[in-house]
Amino acid sequence: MGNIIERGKTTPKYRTIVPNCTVDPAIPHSHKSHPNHGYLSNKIQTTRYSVITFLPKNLFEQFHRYANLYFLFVVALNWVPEVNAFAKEITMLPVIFVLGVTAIKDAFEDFRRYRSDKKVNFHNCRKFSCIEKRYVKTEWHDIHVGDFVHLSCNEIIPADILLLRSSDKEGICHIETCNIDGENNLKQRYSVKGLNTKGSEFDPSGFRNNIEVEQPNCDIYKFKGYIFKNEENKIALNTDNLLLRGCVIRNTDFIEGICVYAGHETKALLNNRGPRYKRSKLERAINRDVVWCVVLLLFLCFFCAIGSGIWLADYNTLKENTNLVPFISFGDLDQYSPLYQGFIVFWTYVIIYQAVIPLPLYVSVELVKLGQVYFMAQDIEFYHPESDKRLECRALNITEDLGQIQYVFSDKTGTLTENIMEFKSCTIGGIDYPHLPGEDDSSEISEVDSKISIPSRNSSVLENLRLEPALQRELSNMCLRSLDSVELVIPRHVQRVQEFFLLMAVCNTVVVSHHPHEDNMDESGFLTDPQFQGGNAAYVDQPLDKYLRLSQSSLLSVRSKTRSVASASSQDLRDTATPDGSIGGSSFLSDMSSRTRYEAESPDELALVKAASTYGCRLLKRSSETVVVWLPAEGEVELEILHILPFDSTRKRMSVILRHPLSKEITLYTKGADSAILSVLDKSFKDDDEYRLQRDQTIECITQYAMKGLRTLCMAKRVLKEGEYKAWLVEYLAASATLEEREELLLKSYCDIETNLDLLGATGIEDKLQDGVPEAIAKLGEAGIKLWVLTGDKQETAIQIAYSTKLFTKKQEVIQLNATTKEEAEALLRHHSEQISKDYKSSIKEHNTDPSTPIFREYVLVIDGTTLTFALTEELDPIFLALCQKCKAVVCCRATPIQKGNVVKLVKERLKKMTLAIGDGANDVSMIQTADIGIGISGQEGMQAVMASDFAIAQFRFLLRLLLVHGHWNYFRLSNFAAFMFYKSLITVFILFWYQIFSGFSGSLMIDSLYLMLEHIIFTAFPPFINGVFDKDTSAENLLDKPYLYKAGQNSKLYTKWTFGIVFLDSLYQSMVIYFINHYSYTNYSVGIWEFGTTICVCMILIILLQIGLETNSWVWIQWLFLILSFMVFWMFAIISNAIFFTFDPPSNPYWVMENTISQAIHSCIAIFVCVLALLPRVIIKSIQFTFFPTDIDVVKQQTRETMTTEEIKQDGGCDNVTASGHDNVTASGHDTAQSMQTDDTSIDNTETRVNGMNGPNMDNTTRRRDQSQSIVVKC
Amino acid sequence: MAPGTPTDSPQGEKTKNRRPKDTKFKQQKLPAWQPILTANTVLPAFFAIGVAFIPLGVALLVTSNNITEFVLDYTNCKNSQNPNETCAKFFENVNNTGLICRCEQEVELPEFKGQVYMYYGLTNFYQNHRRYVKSRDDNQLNGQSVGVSSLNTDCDPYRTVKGNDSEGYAPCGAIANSLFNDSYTMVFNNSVPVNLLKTGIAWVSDKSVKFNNPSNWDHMHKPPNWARPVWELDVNATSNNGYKNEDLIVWMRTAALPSFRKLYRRIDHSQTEFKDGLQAGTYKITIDYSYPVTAFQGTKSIILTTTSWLGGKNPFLGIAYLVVGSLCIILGVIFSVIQLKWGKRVGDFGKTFAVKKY
Repeated sequence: MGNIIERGKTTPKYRTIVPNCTVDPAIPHSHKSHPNHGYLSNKIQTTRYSVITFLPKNLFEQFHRYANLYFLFVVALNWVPEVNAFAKEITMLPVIFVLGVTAIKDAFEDFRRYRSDKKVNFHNCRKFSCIEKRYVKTEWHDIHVGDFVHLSCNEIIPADILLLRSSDKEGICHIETCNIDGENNLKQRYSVKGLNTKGSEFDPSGFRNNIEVEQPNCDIYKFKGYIFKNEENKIALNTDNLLLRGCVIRNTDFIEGICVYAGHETKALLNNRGPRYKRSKLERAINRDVVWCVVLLLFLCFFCAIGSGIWLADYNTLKENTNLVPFISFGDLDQYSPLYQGFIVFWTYVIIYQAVIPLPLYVSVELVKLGQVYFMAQDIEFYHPESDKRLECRALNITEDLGQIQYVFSDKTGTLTENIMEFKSCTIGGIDYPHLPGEDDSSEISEVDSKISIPSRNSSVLENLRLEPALQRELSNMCLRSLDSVELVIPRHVQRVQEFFLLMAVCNTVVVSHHPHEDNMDESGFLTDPQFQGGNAAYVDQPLDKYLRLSQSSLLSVRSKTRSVASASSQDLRDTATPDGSIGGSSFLSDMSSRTRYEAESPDELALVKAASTYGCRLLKRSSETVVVWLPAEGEVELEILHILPFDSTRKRMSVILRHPLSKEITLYTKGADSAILSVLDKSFKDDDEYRLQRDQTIECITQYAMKGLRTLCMAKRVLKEGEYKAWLVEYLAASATLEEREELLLKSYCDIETNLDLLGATGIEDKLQDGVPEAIAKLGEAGIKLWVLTGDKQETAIQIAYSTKLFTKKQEVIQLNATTKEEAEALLRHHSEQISKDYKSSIKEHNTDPSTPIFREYVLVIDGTTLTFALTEELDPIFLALCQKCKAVVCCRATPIQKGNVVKLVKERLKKMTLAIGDGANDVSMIQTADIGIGISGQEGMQAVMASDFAIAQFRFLLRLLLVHGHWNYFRLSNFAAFMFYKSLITVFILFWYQIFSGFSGSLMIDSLYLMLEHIIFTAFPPFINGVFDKDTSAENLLDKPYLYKAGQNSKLYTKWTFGIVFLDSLYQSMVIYFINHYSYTNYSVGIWEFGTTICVCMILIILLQIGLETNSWVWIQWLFLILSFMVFWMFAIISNAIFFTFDPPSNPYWVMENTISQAIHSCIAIFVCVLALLPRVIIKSIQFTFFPTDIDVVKQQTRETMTTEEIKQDGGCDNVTASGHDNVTASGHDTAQSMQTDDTSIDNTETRVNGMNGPNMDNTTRRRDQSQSIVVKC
Repeated sequence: MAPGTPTDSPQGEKTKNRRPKDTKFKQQKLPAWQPILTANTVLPAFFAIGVAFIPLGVALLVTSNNITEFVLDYTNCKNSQNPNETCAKFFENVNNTGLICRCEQEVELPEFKGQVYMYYGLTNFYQNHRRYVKSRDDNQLNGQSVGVSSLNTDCDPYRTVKGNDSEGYAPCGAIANSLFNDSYTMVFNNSVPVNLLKTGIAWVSDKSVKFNNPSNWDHMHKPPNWARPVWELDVNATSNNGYKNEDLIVWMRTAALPSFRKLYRRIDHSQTEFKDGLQAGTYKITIDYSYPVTAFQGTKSIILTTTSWLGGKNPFLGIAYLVVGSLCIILGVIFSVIQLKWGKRVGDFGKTFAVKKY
């Protein structure tokens, strides 16, 4: 897609767009005479092939891979008569096979892209039809530059549209841009000023002005253009007028505009670089070993070519008489030159030894990964019934990287937590009102509702909250009193309660809208307003129905569109419907009867307002000057808003200043972090006992809330005297008028008024942790994975969550880095770095008496966004990284999306560690894409993270299983698989090599080339593949139980740089055994070349298959089946083909060769002997290694085996207690280690004698104690 | 979002469940056998192999030793016409190419029991050379009417007659051209000629299916090294003539290794003198020596041997079985000792010796 940008270079800077209605509708858009003909339509196409172009194009692309090109070269080489080694046609088999499999895979992938394109292209929208003079339903792909488009609220913008008209009378339109820039607050766009497009009279067909805009570019923040009103008069256009494709219309009934960029020329698609090709770590290691293969190939070819020259030089008598050496038959004397023959034979050897580079390696690795992905997606443990989601694998080629992760970077909100804010507790005036856990029992709530007779009966839908009885009582008392209209002296506490709820309702930025954003145009472009559609009874009769449909289905459709539009990648769209109310940061909520919706910037505020509403303090309306609330005691009250002092991270609080309509009293309401409020309380809270008690009680409550992991907010108020306010106002206005240091002055003025506060109380809001998060984090830690939390959230909240998720423990020391300048940051970093080293040294000194268990103090690091900015600069990042590495966990708070990405990049590139990023929101996209593996949580916040991710899971806890179980398995399987592929190639090539020594380095083959070609693609292809998908080194339960097993993958222990060396030696040895045993057994035996080769080939296939049997850890019937089948297929193939083809396949013409060979006893004698001798060293080494130098996995395997046998014994009732208890001894000691050896020994000895006594003396003395358990079972 | 909000209802309507199927296959929970290779689990295998291999090795060795074999290297045998000259020397003279150098050898043979076969052996003869192996046309040998022009080009330079592309060789190629053409006769005690059978020496499948004579021999010539054309190889027996000649068939099945032996004749045991094999005594072997081998440092020999189920006399496999069998027993014993001393628990050994593991 990127190449489209380059096209702009030769074209002029601006493009002129003519409204399509000014053009004769008969002219098609693509026609030359159409003024907009040069611009792409809105149809997107991400597919690479069409049915016709598939074959040539795919082949062309495949031959861009070096490996394929090499094999093509080899095939071509084989057609050179001088060089050819194999039968020409047969050589092509593997290449055709590999190309074919890859082509099928590509075709399948392309088909998926095609389907997703189709889904995107066939979205509905409304465009203005110049013929019908109204908006008509059309599909996205049918929009062209110059078309007018009508969009309703919550619809996705289909193309880059110039906003001409909005339902808002100011011409404002809100859009959510998180699909593009990841920011999830709403942004305002304005319709083009200076055109009379406001109101309903705007007629697109009357819009005849030409528009000039920039050529398409990928800069989403820049847009320039003009609308020509007439020759001289032009209106400038900027970014504020442009609605970008992929964004969603919010808070606006409808908009209309003209399309300026469409399809692949939209900024969203120009920014979409498409999926990156990730190459897994293991694959890089494999590539390194492929290079070794090339080296080996060249060596072998040179060696043999030189050997050939030397061999030929021996026969110099040929020069005199060509007949003297009958087996060297050259027609031409010139060809006798050893140098020339050496050169020719070199190329022959390139063909013969081609197999040393495992041709099917890449494609089979991909196939194995496909199989792995299939079974991962099928794992029922990843199924989340609540959201009906399972694991979704979006990247197919990095499955084994999951087993090698060293660092996990996690988002907090929505990833560790559910991102559902729930009002949990509050304390008012020092009295705690703990709310019991709210359950989904709306019946009870409605009961409560009726009791306290809240005007709007349906308000209970606002918050699923079990009301606190004591608090209800206070409120209902208040109600009664106010109904009586008796001006009694309200007790101070009750007054506090009322004020508290008033504050909750008003001290925020929540916007109320009383109706859903509703467009009076239906999907087909008809106006549905009953006024216009009088005849249409359906709409008149069922207004509620219609609303229902809108609110439900529109949400649904918006969801699905959001995903599909954002990037046109292959994406299954079925699971898109997450009908939740919080979209992006603007949560809203609908109340069906009154159609009240709250739209808040932060979910916390929403939770507070909802809670207040549930208690009867309902926020009814808010404008810039006033706020209307319903209070239980007073009914509807309109308060004048004098000021809103917004939240900032320095003050950590926000305030509103209100004037009561009747009393004209000016009150400041403040809510904020406890530290920020408690420090500015009135001094009576220090002096007065009663107040102090209240304060202390509140603090105690807050501490309790924090311990529970609640987000706490303190509420306070201050009654301002008119004079006080006036004085402040002057200062404030002055501050806001200054140009320099405005922010500091404003801050100061805010702080000035926010003093001497009267503490009302505090709230506890829960951002519920997802299930199993602390457990998962603990296990990840045990697995040696470092977890960093990168969040945009506040430092306090982040730390709280870190504690509640057990990321931090109380024992650890928290290092907080908050710096405002670079120098400060550097000093802090250095200081802490040195401090830790010092502590470390001193603790070593302290504990040097007992070096086995050094107790180091553990550190955790908390760093905020500002400091992070400095820490990520080039000068400081080494110190920062060094410090981070010394800490157990790192939390970055207030981090921007870009910073998140940069942190991941830093660790990935500097520390060369395997990184994984997990997140759910659009703000995590950057880090998800940067990390080696990106994981998206398909949760609340849109699908952006999922779209960018490699794997999508429903819950954080699934990460544990994904890494520890599937990651480990995949890594283990693929490393074995890759090693085995190399082994297979090498052993084949070495066997051929040995034969060269005895055939004059002539490039002679004793094994039928048909077998050689089919060996890798049929005879030995399936068992490794099956193992690559099915084999398990140990069970999932064990892997989850013992997270330290994961470290094998983390440290790349299973496929190291020695692996290839071991494979090399192993195959060298085995090939020598196979060749030379055959050679010497067949000496003095009248054996033909093909019988010789057949025996060797049978041995080779047998050994390869047996070898894979040795490598198999867990045998299920599939493995047995394919192993036996593979050999049978080879065997039967050999027999059948040898019985049929008697002149085919020159020069071997293997007629009856197989039959003759296997009928000779020597064949079987050799085969059995070779198999035993070839595999013997491996068995010995493996068993010695397992017994004496077991890996962690081996130990676990052994333990599993023991527990299993113990259970068997226990289940076996026929066995007496003596043996069972005796065995218990064995098992129990199994978990102990060396120190219990002594006792262990004796107990076992005792057991053995007893067992022998019970079961008779026949027990073989050589039976190991280890086998004791089994033997007991047998004897029982 | 709190439950109970109206937007929740579509979820309920969604009937399609994405829950994966809980089958043992899909959940990868098929019953599995998980063998582990520890010292003690391989112990029985070692002993079993040892126990199986040693008797087998003995059997193989005995079989091999029971075979009587006599090898006569006649590369440098004396020319009977000119006792001062070896036949090898005789052929160093280029003018003698194509002639026959007869030499006679008197040998004392031990007694051969059972069926006796006569082989000729060649060393240093690379019948497995790539170009040589390819230099044949199987369709031609199969009797298909292969035109001269469509003869396998790998037969070059023995494909067509030099300077005349329309005349070809029958059979073409280097293998056929280099057909071994020494011949032997054997006389017992200077009086009883040993009857040698020419047939039954090739594979039945080759003789009956793979090699067939064409309908005519038009445009076909004898290969340059041959004394007579292929259709005159055995004029006495039509079934052994042409491509069906068993000497040719045996030769055409190229040997695997540069030192090889090929079956030459069967001893006719219908003769009363030799009905139980060959008697011990003096035999005179007359060799019509016409195949020069010294140019490539080769040797030629006549081999007389009895046979067994295992083939020829070769103690290698028997010894190998014995060695590996004993090795397995020794390993078994070593493992047992190790196991008794250290191997109580997995890893104890490693831990005892503080071996680092990951």
